[in-house]
Amino acid sequence: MRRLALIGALGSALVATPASSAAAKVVPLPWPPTVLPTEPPLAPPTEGVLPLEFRLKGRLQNWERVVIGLEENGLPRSIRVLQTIEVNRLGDYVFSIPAPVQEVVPGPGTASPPGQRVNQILWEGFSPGHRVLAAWADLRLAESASSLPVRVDLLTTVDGRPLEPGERRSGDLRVMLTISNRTAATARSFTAEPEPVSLAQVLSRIRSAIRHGVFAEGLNVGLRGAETPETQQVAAPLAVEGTLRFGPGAEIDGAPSGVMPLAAQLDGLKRRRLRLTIRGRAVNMSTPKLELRVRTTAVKDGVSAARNARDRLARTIELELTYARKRQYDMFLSSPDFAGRSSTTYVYRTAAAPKTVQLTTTTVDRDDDKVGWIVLGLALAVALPAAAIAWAHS
Amino acid sequence: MQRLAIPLALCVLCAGCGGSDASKAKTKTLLIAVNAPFSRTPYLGQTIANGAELAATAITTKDGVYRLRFKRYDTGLSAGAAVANVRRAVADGAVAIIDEGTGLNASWRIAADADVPICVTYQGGEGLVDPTKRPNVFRIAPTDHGTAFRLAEYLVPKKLKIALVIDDSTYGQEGLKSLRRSFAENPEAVAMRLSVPAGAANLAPEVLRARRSHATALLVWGEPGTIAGVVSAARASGWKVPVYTPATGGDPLVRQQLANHPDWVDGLTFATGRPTAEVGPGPFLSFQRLYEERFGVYLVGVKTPDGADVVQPPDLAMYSYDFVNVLSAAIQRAGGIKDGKKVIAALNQVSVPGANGDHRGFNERNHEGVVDDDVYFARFEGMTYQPVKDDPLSRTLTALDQTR
Repeated sequence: MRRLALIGALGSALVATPASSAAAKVVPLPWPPTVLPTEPPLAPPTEGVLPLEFRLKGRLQNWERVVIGLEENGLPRSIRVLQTIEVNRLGDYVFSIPAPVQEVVPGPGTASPPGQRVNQILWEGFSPGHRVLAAWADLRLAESASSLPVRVDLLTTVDGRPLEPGERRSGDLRVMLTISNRTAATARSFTAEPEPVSLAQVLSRIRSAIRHGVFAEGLNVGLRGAETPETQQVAAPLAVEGTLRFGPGAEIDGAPSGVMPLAAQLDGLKRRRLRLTIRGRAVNMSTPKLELRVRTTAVKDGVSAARNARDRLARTIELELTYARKRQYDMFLSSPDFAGRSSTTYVYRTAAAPKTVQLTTTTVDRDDDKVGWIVLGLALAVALPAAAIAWAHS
Repeated sequence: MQRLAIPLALCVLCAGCGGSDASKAKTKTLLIAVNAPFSRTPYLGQTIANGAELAATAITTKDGVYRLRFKRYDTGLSAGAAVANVRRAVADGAVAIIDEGTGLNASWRIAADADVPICVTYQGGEGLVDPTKRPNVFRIAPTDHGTAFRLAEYLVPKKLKIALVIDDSTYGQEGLKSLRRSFAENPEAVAMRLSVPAGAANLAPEVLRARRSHATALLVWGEPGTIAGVVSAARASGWKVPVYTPATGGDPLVRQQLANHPDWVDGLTFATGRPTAEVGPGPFLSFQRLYEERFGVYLVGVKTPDGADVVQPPDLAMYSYDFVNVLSAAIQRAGGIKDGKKVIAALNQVSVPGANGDHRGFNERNHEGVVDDDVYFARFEGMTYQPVKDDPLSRTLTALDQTR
């Protein structure tokens, strides 16, 4: 009897399943590569980029340190990136990283030197199971600066007049510093009534991806009705910390040593910027020096079981896109494994203007050296006896 | 297989294009010079030339179809002749020169003045290639630097006391420079450094000196004749010391000279560029089949213990083959050959699938087509060689059939 009941229940379940599937349709969540801005990572036009081979997927880790040289007013003057890639697999590797590179040189601890092509950093070799590849890349400012996560505005005035680079003045000091998170973006999205079970699966995948630091994939959700298009504002949450350092001759309230510490969490939406106005007294003082470290922080997970299904879907999409936006800033230069783990630290630092030096580059080959020595030898062979004769007759 | 099929299909397509009258009118011939020692070391010269001739035979650009013609210039291993050959090749209108490497320190300027790229496909000397000072010089061959460092990396952990035996040929002296650097951090691994005359009939006194230095291994960097001489002297005296060499250890001449004592060759280990990649032996075997169909097999002239004839795989030929394919891709990218500077610049920007399944190409900072990591170790046993098992790269490689 019990068996019969079980079979009956199974049968009704089988009959019921197609009906409920027909009612729901499955759609993908907004796909970050199409609904979010494409950069970062930087993506200059390239030809013949060598993609990462499938067997290396999930076997690479990417770290970057982006060093932004700032002018005294906070505008970027130069951008250099130290990209370190760890290959954790035995075998061949060959891939290239698209980047608006001016020059590429080996980075610390690299096991092989990087190659350089137009808008590409090239890596090729054999990994005996573990291999570190590192390169310093000087980037073209015009094609890179717009993808930086924060904008810095710094104005120093003495007696109400801006203090120019290299200038020293005395008087009433006022420094206005603004650090803005500029990662906010508007993405195409939708609202709908989701299938709770499928939404729970999708949410679980996103949370798992966040835990493991990888790209969230396979995000298809069942809907019970039509979706309504809408837009979603997302931004990469950032932690900013650093110092504003005044030289001798500055008397700043609250910073007796002349060093003003800075720290802020800028989520890019509710809190977009940090504004500081510092007042004091300048005595023969020059412009202050700023040093900031900027990193992305954990995304806020606002999905709660207490909310209704429609709201949970909206929060799930927000979580997905915010995490995707954060991951974009975790790779200023693209990681060879786009879906893999990556982290990036941005270091903003006031940098002196490059000195204009007239360089005369002479490429001397060994053969030229020989010719030079021969000419010198011949000249000496003639000059020395002549000098000896002249000296003897003097 | 698939990778090899692409350039071949390109050739067939290009050849097909030449059939119509319209394209016939636009078909031009490009000369590629092969500057190699055809008379002094025919195996080397012919292998380089054969590899080049096996590659793309025509290039299609927006200017039309270019057919490739190859002309052999014999250096006789003389630097003077090699330089004169490059001058003649430039005068003949060569668009590129494939070079064994002899005389390159002087000849590259002649080619540079005419905006002609030169690709070295044999010698590995460190000073030959420099993207800044010699922007028209490229190389597809293992470098001495890579070979020496890989040898040090392989031998130092074995805790051997190594006698470095270097012959006085240019090849030996270039190798010595690289060996000095590669063992600089492990001087305790070197028992002694010994210079020997290249091609000397009897090296017994030198080998005896090495033995008296309490060396537990010999690293012989020299011409094939020197390697055969050292092995012969060591084994004849009953010294079963392990012998390591650069790529010349795999030259057929070594086995030919030791043919009367096949057991003396057993254990000889040489470092060279790998003929197969992680993708497996497929690409190289396809290349080898094509090569042998066109040029026949190269019989070494010795037999295995089972009595099978030993053949030499055309691994050296793949370098000149790859260069012609890279050059073809560069000419296509440059839109033709009107501007040699453009072709040289384009050589820095393109890659092609190589005969061994690797990507082959150069870049703005590196004109070496074989990365140092690609050097592997092979050990002789019964007159054929197999990748060693105690090196991470070598043990991933498949052994090639060398018998017929």
